Amino acid sequence: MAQWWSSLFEGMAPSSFFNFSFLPKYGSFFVQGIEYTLLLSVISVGLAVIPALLLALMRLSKHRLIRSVSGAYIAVFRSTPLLVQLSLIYFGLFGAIQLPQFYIFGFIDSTRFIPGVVALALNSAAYVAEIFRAGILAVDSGQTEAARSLGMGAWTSMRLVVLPQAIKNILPALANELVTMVKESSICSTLGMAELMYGAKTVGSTTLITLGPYVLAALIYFAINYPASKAIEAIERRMRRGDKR
Amino acid sequence: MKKWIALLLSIAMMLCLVACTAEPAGSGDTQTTDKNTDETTGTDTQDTQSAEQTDADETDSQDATTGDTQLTKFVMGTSADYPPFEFIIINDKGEQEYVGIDISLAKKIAEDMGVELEVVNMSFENLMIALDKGEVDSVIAALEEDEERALVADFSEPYYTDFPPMILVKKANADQYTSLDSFAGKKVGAQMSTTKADIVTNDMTDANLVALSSVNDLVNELVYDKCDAIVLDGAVAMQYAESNSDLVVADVDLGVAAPYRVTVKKGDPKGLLESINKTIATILEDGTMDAYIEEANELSTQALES
Repeated sequence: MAQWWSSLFEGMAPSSFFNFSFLPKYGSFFVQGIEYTLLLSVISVGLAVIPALLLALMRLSKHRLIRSVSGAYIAVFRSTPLLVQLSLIYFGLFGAIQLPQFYIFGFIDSTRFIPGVVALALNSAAYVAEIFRAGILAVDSGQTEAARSLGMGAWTSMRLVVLPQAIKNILPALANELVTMVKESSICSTLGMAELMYGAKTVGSTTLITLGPYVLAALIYFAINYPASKAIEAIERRMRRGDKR
Repeated sequence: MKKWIALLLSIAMMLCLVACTAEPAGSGDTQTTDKNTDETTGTDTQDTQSAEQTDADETDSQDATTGDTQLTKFVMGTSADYPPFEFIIINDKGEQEYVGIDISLAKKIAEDMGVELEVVNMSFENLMIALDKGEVDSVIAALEEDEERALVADFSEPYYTDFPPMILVKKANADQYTSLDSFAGKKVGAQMSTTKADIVTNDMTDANLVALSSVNDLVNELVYDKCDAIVLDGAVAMQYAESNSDLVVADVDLGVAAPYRVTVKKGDPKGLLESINKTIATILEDGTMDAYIEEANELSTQALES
Protein backbone atom coordinates (compact mmCIF):
# COMPACT_ATOMS: atom_id res chain seq x y z
CA MET A 1 0.00 0.00 0.00
CA ALA A 2 2.65 2.43 1.07
CA GLN A 3 4.76 1.43 -1.93
CA TRP A 4 1.99 2.01 -4.40
CA TRP A 5 1.20 5.36 -2.85
CA SER A 6 4.72 6.72 -2.80
CA SER A 7 5.42 5.68 -6.40
CA LEU A 8 2.58 8.00 -7.39
CA PHE A 9 4.59 11.02 -6.29
CA GLU A 10 8.00 9.78 -7.30
CA GLY A 11 10.16 12.40 -8.96
CA MET A 12 7.75 15.21 -8.20
CA ALA A 13 9.39 18.49 -7.20
CA PRO A 14 8.84 19.42 -3.53
CA SER A 15 7.17 22.62 -4.66
CA SER A 16 4.72 21.19 -7.19
CA PHE A 17 1.01 21.63 -6.64
CA PHE A 18 -0.14 18.07 -6.22
CA ASN A 19 2.77 16.58 -4.34
CA PHE A 20 0.79 14.85 -1.58
CA SER A 21 3.52 12.37 -0.64
CA PHE A 22 3.35 13.66 2.94
CA LEU A 23 -0.14 12.24 3.43
CA PRO A 24 0.44 8.72 4.80
CA LYS A 25 2.76 10.01 7.48
CA TYR A 26 1.27 13.42 8.25
CA GLY A 27 -2.42 12.87 7.56
CA SER A 28 -3.21 13.17 11.26
CA PHE A 29 -2.30 16.87 11.18
CA PHE A 30 -5.13 17.40 8.73
CA VAL A 31 -7.62 15.26 10.63
CA GLN A 32 -6.97 17.14 13.86
CA GLY A 33 -6.98 20.37 11.90
CA ILE A 34 -10.48 19.66 10.59
CA GLU A 35 -11.75 18.90 14.09
CA TYR A 36 -10.14 22.04 15.50
CA THR A 37 -11.47 24.26 12.70
CA LEU A 38 -15.01 22.93 13.04
CA LEU A 39 -15.04 23.25 16.83
CA LEU A 40 -13.58 26.73 16.66
CA SER A 41 -16.10 28.03 14.14
CA VAL A 42 -19.22 26.25 15.42
CA ILE A 43 -18.63 27.28 19.04
CA SER A 44 -17.75 30.84 18.04
CA VAL A 45 -20.87 31.39 15.99
CA GLY A 46 -22.95 29.59 18.65
CA LEU A 47 -21.64 31.85 21.38
CA ALA A 48 -22.20 34.91 19.20
CA VAL A 49 -25.95 34.28 18.77
CA ILE A 50 -27.20 35.53 22.15
CA PRO A 51 -25.06 38.70 22.38
CA ALA A 52 -25.93 39.35 18.75
CA LEU A 53 -29.66 39.17 19.47
CA LEU A 54 -29.16 41.63 22.33
CA LEU A 55 -27.13 43.93 20.10
CA ALA A 56 -29.76 43.78 17.37
CA LEU A 57 -32.59 44.61 19.78
CA MET A 58 -30.49 47.44 21.25
CA ARG A 59 -29.91 48.71 17.74
CA LEU A 60 -33.68 48.87 17.20
CA SER A 61 -34.30 50.55 20.55
CA LYS A 62 -36.01 53.92 20.86
CA HIS A 63 -33.33 55.34 23.15
CA ARG A 64 -30.48 57.00 21.36
CA LEU A 65 -27.87 56.02 23.97
CA ILE A 66 -28.67 52.31 23.80
CA ARG A 67 -28.78 52.49 20.02
CA SER A 68 -25.38 54.15 19.77
CA VAL A 69 -23.67 51.74 22.22
CA SER A 70 -24.68 48.82 20.04
CA GLY A 71 -23.91 50.80 16.90
CA ALA A 72 -20.41 51.59 18.13
CA TYR A 73 -19.67 47.93 18.92
CA ILE A 74 -20.84 46.79 15.51
CA ALA A 75 -18.92 49.59 13.77
CA VAL A 76 -15.66 48.77 15.57
CA PHE A 77 -15.80 45.05 14.89
CA ARG A 78 -16.97 45.36 11.30
CA SER A 79 -14.44 48.02 10.36
CA THR A 80 -11.25 46.45 11.70
CA PRO A 81 -9.58 43.31 10.35
CA LEU A 82 -10.10 40.04 12.18
CA LEU A 83 -6.34 39.49 12.34
CA VAL A 84 -5.90 42.74 14.26
CA GLN A 85 -8.78 41.91 16.60
CA LEU A 86 -7.35 38.46 17.22
CA SER A 87 -3.87 39.77 18.06
CA LEU A 88 -5.25 42.48 20.35
CA ILE A 89 -7.59 40.12 22.18
CA TYR A 90 -4.98 37.39 22.49
CA PHE A 91 -2.11 39.54 23.73
CA GLY A 92 -4.12 42.37 25.28
CA LEU A 93 -7.19 40.87 26.92
CA PHE A 94 -5.80 37.41 27.59
CA GLY A 95 -2.41 38.78 28.53
CA ALA A 96 -4.18 40.15 31.60
CA ILE A 97 -6.40 37.12 32.27
CA GLN A 98 -4.71 33.89 33.29
CA LEU A 99 -6.55 30.93 31.81
CA PRO A 100 -6.41 27.46 33.36
CA GLN A 101 -4.62 25.08 31.07
CA PHE A 102 -6.25 21.84 30.01
CA TYR A 103 -6.62 19.85 26.83
CA ILE A 104 -9.87 19.19 25.00
CA PHE A 105 -9.76 15.83 23.18
CA GLY A 106 -6.10 15.65 24.13
CA PHE A 107 -4.86 18.11 21.52
CA ILE A 108 -6.80 21.37 21.86
CA ASP A 109 -4.92 23.65 24.25
CA SER A 110 -7.37 25.76 26.24
CA THR A 111 -5.01 28.72 26.64
CA ARG A 112 -5.03 29.15 22.87
CA PHE A 113 -8.47 27.83 21.99
CA ILE A 114 -10.42 30.05 24.41
CA PRO A 115 -8.86 33.36 23.26
CA GLY A 116 -9.48 32.23 19.69
CA VAL A 117 -13.12 31.44 20.37
CA VAL A 118 -13.62 34.72 22.23
CA ALA A 119 -12.07 36.77 19.42
CA LEU A 120 -14.05 35.00 16.69
CA ALA A 121 -17.26 35.17 18.75
CA LEU A 122 -16.90 38.91 19.44
CA ASN A 123 -16.26 39.50 15.76
CA SER A 124 -19.08 37.23 14.69
CA ALA A 125 -21.50 38.87 17.15
CA ALA A 126 -21.22 42.13 15.20
CA TYR A 127 -22.06 40.45 11.90
CA VAL A 128 -24.80 38.23 13.34
CA ALA A 129 -26.34 41.29 15.01
CA GLU A 130 -26.71 42.87 11.59
CA ILE A 131 -28.23 39.64 10.28
CA PHE A 132 -30.76 39.71 13.12
CA ARG A 133 -31.54 43.38 12.63
CA ALA A 134 -32.13 42.91 8.92
CA GLY A 135 -34.23 39.83 9.65
CA ILE A 136 -36.38 41.67 12.16
CA LEU A 137 -36.83 44.73 9.95
CA ALA A 138 -37.85 42.51 7.05
CA VAL A 139 -40.97 41.47 8.95
CA ASP A 140 -43.79 43.72 7.77
CA SER A 141 -44.49 46.53 10.22
CA GLY A 142 -48.19 45.71 9.86
CA GLN A 143 -47.49 42.62 11.94
CA THR A 144 -46.33 44.73 14.89
CA GLU A 145 -49.21 47.14 14.43
CA ALA A 146 -51.72 44.29 14.43
CA ALA A 147 -50.13 42.75 17.52
CA ARG A 148 -50.08 46.08 19.33
CA SER A 149 -53.71 46.76 18.44
CA LEU A 150 -54.63 43.41 19.99
CA GLY A 151 -53.25 44.83 23.23
CA MET A 152 -49.83 43.20 23.29
CA GLY A 153 -46.93 45.16 24.77
CA ALA A 154 -43.88 46.10 22.68
CA TRP A 155 -41.78 43.18 24.01
CA THR A 156 -44.63 40.67 23.85
CA SER A 157 -45.35 41.49 20.23
CA MET A 158 -41.66 41.31 19.42
CA ARG A 159 -41.33 37.94 21.17
CA LEU A 160 -44.56 36.32 19.99
CA VAL A 161 -45.15 37.86 16.58
CA VAL A 162 -42.05 39.43 15.04
CA LEU A 163 -39.15 37.20 16.16
CA PRO A 164 -40.77 33.90 15.11
CA GLN A 165 -41.28 35.29 11.61
CA ALA A 166 -37.82 36.86 11.56
CA ILE A 167 -36.20 33.48 12.24
CA LYS A 168 -37.15 32.36 8.75
CA ASN A 169 -35.07 35.23 7.33
CA ILE A 170 -32.29 34.79 9.87
CA LEU A 171 -31.49 31.07 9.82
CA PRO A 172 -30.05 30.82 6.29
CA ALA A 173 -27.93 33.94 6.80
CA LEU A 174 -26.73 32.58 10.14
CA ALA A 175 -25.69 29.33 8.53
CA ASN A 176 -23.83 31.33 5.91
CA GLU A 177 -22.00 33.13 8.71
CA LEU A 178 -20.90 29.70 9.96
CA VAL A 179 -19.52 28.86 6.52
CA THR A 180 -17.65 32.18 6.51
CA MET A 181 -16.29 31.47 9.97
CA VAL A 182 -14.90 28.09 8.92
CA LYS A 183 -12.80 29.96 6.38
CA GLU A 184 -11.97 33.00 8.54
CA SER A 185 -10.77 30.86 11.43
CA SER A 186 -7.69 30.01 9.37
CA ILE A 187 -6.29 33.31 10.67
CA CYS A 188 -5.93 31.69 14.10
CA SER A 189 -3.01 29.66 12.76
CA THR A 190 -0.74 32.69 13.23
CA LEU A 191 -1.16 32.33 16.99
CA GLY A 192 -0.49 28.62 17.02
CA MET A 193 -4.06 27.32 17.18
CA ALA A 194 -3.77 23.90 15.63
CA GLU A 195 -6.52 24.25 13.03
CA LEU A 196 -6.43 23.17 9.41
CA MET A 197 -4.23 25.94 8.04
CA TYR A 198 -1.79 25.47 10.93
CA GLY A 199 -1.60 21.77 10.08
CA ALA A 200 -0.85 22.61 6.46
CA LYS A 201 1.88 25.08 7.42
CA THR A 202 3.45 22.68 9.88
CA VAL A 203 3.54 19.80 7.43
CA GLY A 204 4.95 22.11 4.79
CA SER A 205 7.81 23.28 6.95
CA THR A 206 8.65 19.85 8.36
CA THR A 207 8.71 18.03 5.04
CA LEU A 208 9.96 20.93 2.88
CA ILE A 209 7.07 20.12 0.54
CA THR A 210 5.97 23.70 0.23
CA LEU A 211 2.78 23.88 -1.81
CA GLY A 212 1.04 20.49 -1.63
CA PRO A 213 -0.22 20.96 1.95
CA TYR A 214 -1.90 24.26 1.00
CA VAL A 215 -3.59 22.62 -1.97
CA LEU A 216 -4.87 19.84 0.28
CA ALA A 217 -6.09 22.38 2.86
CA ALA A 218 -7.95 24.23 0.11
CA LEU A 219 -9.58 20.97 -1.06
CA ILE A 220 -10.65 20.17 2.49
CA TYR A 221 -12.10 23.65 3.11
CA PHE A 222 -14.01 23.28 -0.15
CA ALA A 223 -15.25 19.82 0.76
CA ILE A 224 -16.62 21.20 4.03
CA ASN A 225 -18.09 24.46 2.77
CA TYR A 226 -19.56 23.57 -0.60
CA PRO A 227 -21.92 20.84 0.66
CA ALA A 228 -22.75 23.04 3.63
CA SER A 229 -23.82 25.96 1.46
CA LYS A 230 -25.79 23.61 -0.81
CA ALA A 231 -27.59 22.28 2.27
CA ILE A 232 -28.36 25.82 3.37
CA GLU A 233 -29.84 26.58 -0.04
CA ALA A 234 -32.05 23.51 0.22
CA ILE A 235 -33.27 24.48 3.68
CA GLU A 236 -33.93 28.01 2.46
CA ARG A 237 -36.02 26.70 -0.41
CA ARG A 238 -37.95 24.45 1.94
CA MET A 239 -38.69 27.35 4.30
CA ARG A 240 -39.91 29.57 1.48
CA ARG A 241 -42.46 27.01 0.40
CA GLY A 242 -45.09 28.38 2.81
CA ASP A 243 -44.82 31.84 1.27
CA LYS A 244 -46.42 30.92 -2.04
CA ARG A 245 -50.04 31.70 -2.33
CA MET B 1 -47.64 26.12 13.96
CA LYS B 2 -44.68 25.77 11.61
CA LYS B 3 -43.25 28.99 12.93
CA TRP B 4 -43.39 27.67 16.45
CA ILE B 5 -41.50 24.58 15.43
CA ALA B 6 -38.88 26.75 13.76
CA LEU B 7 -38.53 28.86 16.90
CA LEU B 8 -38.27 25.79 19.09
CA LEU B 9 -35.66 24.23 16.83
CA SER B 10 -33.58 27.37 16.77
CA ILE B 11 -33.68 27.66 20.56
CA ALA B 12 -32.73 24.01 20.85
CA MET B 13 -29.82 24.68 18.51
CA MET B 14 -28.64 27.60 20.60
CA LEU B 15 -28.83 25.55 23.78
CA CYS B 16 -26.88 22.73 22.17
CA LEU B 17 -24.11 25.06 21.14
CA VAL B 18 -23.95 26.74 24.53
CA ALA B 19 -23.88 23.35 26.24
CA CYS B 20 -21.01 22.29 24.01
CA THR B 21 -18.81 25.06 25.28
CA ALA B 22 -19.58 24.58 28.91
CA GLU B 23 -18.96 20.86 29.09
CA PRO B 24 -15.32 20.41 28.07
CA ALA B 25 -14.33 23.16 30.50
CA GLY B 26 -15.05 20.88 33.42
CA SER B 27 -14.10 17.50 32.03
CA GLY B 28 -10.84 18.26 30.28
CA ASP B 29 -8.90 19.23 33.36
CA THR B 30 -7.53 15.82 34.17
CA GLN B 31 -5.60 15.58 30.93
CA THR B 32 -3.15 18.35 31.73
CA THR B 33 -0.43 16.24 33.25
CA ASP B 34 -0.73 13.56 30.61
CA LYS B 35 -0.16 15.94 27.78
CA ASN B 36 2.70 17.76 29.43
CA THR B 37 4.45 14.50 30.06
CA ASP B 38 3.96 13.58 26.44
CA GLU B 39 5.67 16.70 25.29
CA THR B 40 8.68 16.27 27.49
CA THR B 41 9.13 12.62 26.57
CA GLY B 42 12.04 13.06 24.26
CA THR B 43 14.18 10.60 22.45
CA ASP B 44 17.16 11.21 24.67
CA THR B 45 15.82 12.61 27.91
CA GLN B 46 13.32 9.97 28.84
CA ASP B 47 13.98 10.53 32.52
CA THR B 48 12.93 14.20 32.57
CA GLN B 49 9.68 13.61 34.31
CA SER B 50 7.69 15.30 36.97
CA ALA B 51 9.32 13.26 39.73
CA GLU B 52 12.14 15.77 39.95
CA GLN B 53 9.81 18.68 40.12
CA THR B 54 10.69 19.95 43.58
CA ASP B 55 14.34 19.26 44.19
CA ALA B 56 16.03 21.97 42.16
CA ASP B 57 18.34 24.47 43.85
CA GLU B 58 17.61 27.04 41.15
CA THR B 59 13.97 27.38 42.07
CA ASP B 60 14.99 28.77 45.47
CA SER B 61 16.69 31.76 43.96
CA GLN B 62 13.56 32.57 41.93
CA ASP B 63 11.55 32.74 45.09
CA ALA B 64 14.02 35.16 46.52
CA THR B 65 13.97 37.51 43.54
CA THR B 66 10.29 37.57 42.74
CA GLY B 67 8.45 36.30 45.78
CA ASP B 68 6.23 34.55 43.24
CA THR B 69 5.05 31.01 43.39
CA GLN B 70 7.69 28.42 42.61
CA LEU B 71 8.45 27.72 38.99
CA THR B 72 6.49 24.59 38.15
CA LYS B 73 7.31 24.40 34.47
CA PHE B 74 9.64 25.98 31.97
CA VAL B 75 7.57 27.51 29.17
CA MET B 76 9.47 27.81 25.94
CA GLY B 77 8.19 29.91 23.05
CA THR B 78 9.24 28.89 19.57
CA SER B 79 8.16 28.87 15.96
CA ALA B 80 8.27 25.21 15.04
CA ASP B 81 8.63 25.61 11.29
CA TYR B 82 12.38 25.67 11.13
CA PRO B 83 14.11 22.33 10.77
CA PRO B 84 16.63 21.34 12.06
CA PHE B 85 16.22 23.81 14.95
CA GLU B 86 12.56 23.29 15.79
CA PHE B 87 9.94 21.36 13.91
CA ILE B 88 7.10 18.92 14.48
CA ILE B 89 7.30 15.28 13.47
CA ILE B 90 5.09 12.24 13.81
CA ASN B 91 7.05 9.95 16.12
CA ASP B 92 7.10 6.14 16.16
CA LYS B 93 3.97 6.05 18.32
CA GLY B 94 2.15 8.10 15.70
CA GLU B 95 2.00 11.16 17.94
CA GLN B 96 3.01 14.69 17.10
CA GLU B 97 6.20 15.71 18.80
CA TYR B 98 8.32 18.85 18.90
CA VAL B 99 11.93 18.05 18.03
CA GLY B 100 15.09 19.83 16.94
CA ILE B 101 18.25 21.32 18.36
CA ASP B 102 16.47 24.08 20.28
CA ILE B 103 13.88 21.67 21.69
CA SER B 104 16.58 19.29 22.94
CA LEU B 105 18.36 22.24 24.53
CA ALA B 106 15.15 23.42 26.19
CA LYS B 107 14.49 19.94 27.54
CA LYS B 108 17.93 19.89 29.05
CA ILE B 109 17.46 23.37 30.56
CA ALA B 110 14.16 22.31 32.10
CA GLU B 111 15.69 19.09 33.37
CA ASP B 112 18.51 20.99 35.06
CA MET B 113 15.95 23.28 36.67
CA GLY B 114 14.06 20.23 37.83
CA VAL B 115 10.81 21.20 36.14
CA GLU B 116 8.79 20.13 33.12
CA LEU B 117 9.13 21.70 29.71
CA GLU B 118 6.15 23.16 27.93
CA VAL B 119 6.51 24.14 24.29
CA VAL B 120 4.37 27.01 23.00
CA ASN B 121 4.30 27.32 19.23
CA MET B 122 3.37 30.47 17.27
CA SER B 123 4.43 32.66 14.33
CA PHE B 124 7.98 33.92 14.65
CA GLU B 125 7.02 37.60 14.66
CA ASN B 126 4.75 37.07 17.66
CA LEU B 127 7.42 35.43 19.83
CA MET B 128 8.98 38.58 21.27
CA ILE B 129 5.52 39.97 22.09
CA ALA B 130 4.69 36.76 23.94
CA LEU B 131 7.97 36.96 25.87
CA ASP B 132 7.36 40.57 26.81
CA LYS B 133 3.80 39.76 27.89
CA GLY B 134 5.14 37.00 30.16
CA GLU B 135 3.24 34.34 28.27
CA VAL B 136 6.43 32.33 27.84
CA ASP B 137 9.46 32.14 30.14
CA SER B 138 11.94 32.00 27.34
CA VAL B 139 12.14 32.17 23.57
CA ILE B 140 14.48 29.66 21.95
CA ALA B 141 14.12 29.88 18.19
CA ALA B 142 17.52 30.14 16.51
CA LEU B 143 17.67 33.73 17.74
CA GLU B 144 20.62 36.03 17.27
CA GLU B 145 21.22 39.01 19.52
CA ASP B 146 20.13 42.32 18.05
CA GLU B 147 19.26 45.79 19.25
CA GLU B 148 15.48 45.60 18.88
CA ARG B 149 15.24 42.29 20.67
CA ALA B 150 17.51 43.58 23.43
CA LEU B 151 14.79 46.10 24.30
CA VAL B 152 12.47 43.36 25.53
CA ALA B 153 14.81 40.45 26.16
CA ASP B 154 18.01 39.44 27.92
CA PHE B 155 20.30 37.01 26.14
CA SER B 156 22.14 33.94 27.38
CA GLU B 157 25.62 32.85 26.36
CA PRO B 158 25.70 31.56 22.77
CA TYR B 159 24.83 27.88 22.33
CA TYR B 160 25.19 27.39 18.59
CA THR B 161 26.98 29.05 15.74
CA ASP B 162 25.39 28.38 12.40
CA PHE B 163 26.82 28.77 8.97
CA PRO B 164 26.52 32.44 8.03
CA PRO B 165 23.21 33.42 6.43
CA MET B 166 22.95 32.42 2.78
CA ILE B 167 21.03 33.69 -0.21
CA LEU B 168 18.95 31.18 -2.09
CA VAL B 169 18.31 31.85 -5.78
CA LYS B 170 17.07 29.97 -8.83
CA LYS B 171 19.72 27.88 -10.50
CA ALA B 172 19.04 29.45 -13.90
CA ASN B 173 19.81 32.95 -12.59
CA ALA B 174 22.58 32.04 -10.18
CA ASP B 175 25.45 33.60 -12.15
CA GLN B 176 23.75 37.02 -12.13
CA TYR B 177 24.35 37.35 -8.43
CA THR B 178 27.95 37.93 -7.49
CA SER B 179 27.82 40.60 -4.81
CA LEU B 180 25.33 42.33 -2.52
CA ASP B 181 25.04 45.14 -5.08
CA SER B 182 23.73 42.79 -7.75
CA PHE B 183 20.45 42.62 -5.82
CA ALA B 184 19.70 46.29 -6.54
CA GLY B 185 16.16 46.62 -7.85
CA LYS B 186 15.45 42.95 -7.13
CA LYS B 187 12.82 41.60 -4.77
CA VAL B 188 14.51 39.77 -1.92
CA GLY B 189 12.53 37.74 0.59
CA ALA B 190 13.28 37.14 4.26
CA GLN B 191 11.39 35.98 7.31
CA MET B 192 9.54 38.76 9.12
CA SER B 193 11.29 40.25 12.20
CA THR B 194 14.49 38.28 11.67
CA THR B 195 18.06 39.50 11.32
CA LYS B 196 17.84 38.23 7.75
CA ALA B 197 15.23 40.89 7.01
CA ASP B 198 17.68 43.44 8.43
CA ILE B 199 20.36 42.22 6.03
CA VAL B 200 18.07 42.97 3.10
CA THR B 201 17.13 46.45 4.34
CA ASN B 202 20.57 47.48 5.60
CA ASP B 203 23.17 45.74 3.45
CA MET B 204 21.55 45.30 0.05
CA THR B 205 21.29 48.73 -1.53
CA ASP B 206 18.02 49.29 -3.38
CA ALA B 207 16.76 45.77 -2.87
CA ASN B 208 13.05 45.46 -2.11
CA LEU B 209 12.26 43.43 0.99
CA VAL B 210 9.49 40.84 0.84
CA ALA B 211 8.83 39.97 4.49
CA LEU B 212 6.70 36.88 5.15
CA SER B 213 6.21 34.97 8.36
CA SER B 214 7.08 31.47 7.21
CA VAL B 215 10.13 30.14 5.40
CA ASN B 216 7.84 27.78 3.60
CA ASP B 217 6.04 30.62 1.86
CA LEU B 218 9.34 32.29 1.03
CA VAL B 219 10.44 29.19 -0.84
CA ASN B 220 7.14 29.23 -2.75
CA GLU B 221 7.79 32.88 -3.62
CA LEU B 222 11.16 31.97 -5.06
CA VAL B 223 10.05 28.83 -6.89
CA TYR B 224 7.08 30.58 -8.51
CA ASP B 225 9.12 33.68 -9.45
CA LYS B 226 7.40 36.07 -7.07
CA CYS B 227 10.74 37.22 -5.76
CA ASP B 228 14.30 36.95 -7.04
CA ALA B 229 16.17 35.70 -3.99
CA ILE B 230 15.57 34.80 -0.36
CA VAL B 231 17.89 35.19 2.61
CA LEU B 232 17.86 32.30 5.08
CA ASP B 233 20.00 30.92 7.86
CA GLY B 234 22.80 28.86 6.33
CA ALA B 235 21.68 25.44 7.51
CA VAL B 236 18.10 26.05 6.42
CA ALA B 237 19.12 27.41 3.02
CA MET B 238 21.27 24.37 2.33
CA GLN B 239 18.43 22.04 3.23
CA TYR B 240 16.05 23.66 0.76
CA ALA B 241 18.75 23.77 -1.93
CA GLU B 242 19.19 20.05 -1.43
CA SER B 243 15.51 19.17 -1.70
CA ASN B 244 14.69 21.55 -4.59
CA SER B 245 16.90 20.77 -7.56
CA ASP B 246 16.28 24.14 -9.24
CA LEU B 247 17.40 26.22 -6.24
CA VAL B 248 21.02 26.98 -5.36
CA VAL B 249 22.89 29.00 -2.78
CA ALA B 250 24.20 32.19 -4.41
CA ASP B 251 27.92 32.81 -4.31
CA VAL B 252 27.63 35.91 -2.14
CA ASP B 253 29.39 36.17 1.19
CA LEU B 254 27.26 37.51 4.02
CA GLY B 255 30.09 37.62 6.54
CA VAL B 256 30.47 35.77 9.77
CA ALA B 257 27.69 33.97 11.52
CA ALA B 258 26.19 35.45 14.64
CA PRO B 259 25.70 32.85 17.36
CA TYR B 260 22.24 31.79 18.55
CA ARG B 261 21.22 32.58 22.11
CA VAL B 262 18.43 31.75 24.51
CA THR B 263 16.31 34.75 25.52
CA VAL B 264 14.44 35.52 28.71
CA LYS B 265 12.28 38.52 29.53
CA LYS B 266 14.17 41.80 30.01
CA GLY B 267 15.58 42.02 33.53
CA ASP B 268 15.20 38.24 33.97
CA PRO B 269 12.32 38.53 36.53
CA LYS B 270 12.24 34.80 37.17
CA GLY B 271 16.00 34.51 37.64
CA LEU B 272 16.41 31.85 34.95
CA LEU B 273 19.48 33.07 33.13
CA GLU B 274 22.10 31.74 35.53
CA SER B 275 20.76 28.21 35.32
CA ILE B 276 20.38 28.45 31.53
CA ASN B 277 23.98 29.60 31.10
CA LYS B 278 25.19 26.79 33.34
CA THR B 279 23.33 24.23 31.22
CA ILE B 280 24.68 25.70 27.97
CA ALA B 281 28.27 25.67 29.29
CA THR B 282 27.91 22.04 30.33
CA ILE B 283 26.47 20.69 27.10
CA LEU B 284 28.92 22.60 24.93
CA GLU B 285 31.78 21.16 26.94
CA ASP B 286 30.76 17.50 27.16
CA GLY B 287 29.70 17.19 23.51
CA THR B 288 25.98 16.78 24.24
CA MET B 289 25.27 19.67 21.89
CA ASP B 290 26.90 17.84 18.99
CA ALA B 291 24.68 14.87 19.73
CA TYR B 292 21.61 17.15 19.65
CA ILE B 293 22.68 18.56 16.29
CA GLU B 294 23.30 15.15 14.81
CA GLU B 295 19.99 13.82 16.11
CA ALA B 296 18.06 16.82 14.79
CA ASN B 297 19.64 16.53 11.35
CA GLU B 298 18.78 12.86 11.27
CA LEU B 299 15.15 13.48 12.28
CA SER B 300 14.88 16.21 9.68
CA THR B 301 16.13 13.91 6.94
CA GLN B 302 13.71 11.21 8.06
CA ALA B 303 10.84 13.69 7.92
CA LEU B 304 11.53 14.15 4.22
CA GLU B 305 11.17 10.47 3.50
CA SER B 306 7.58 9.46 3.19
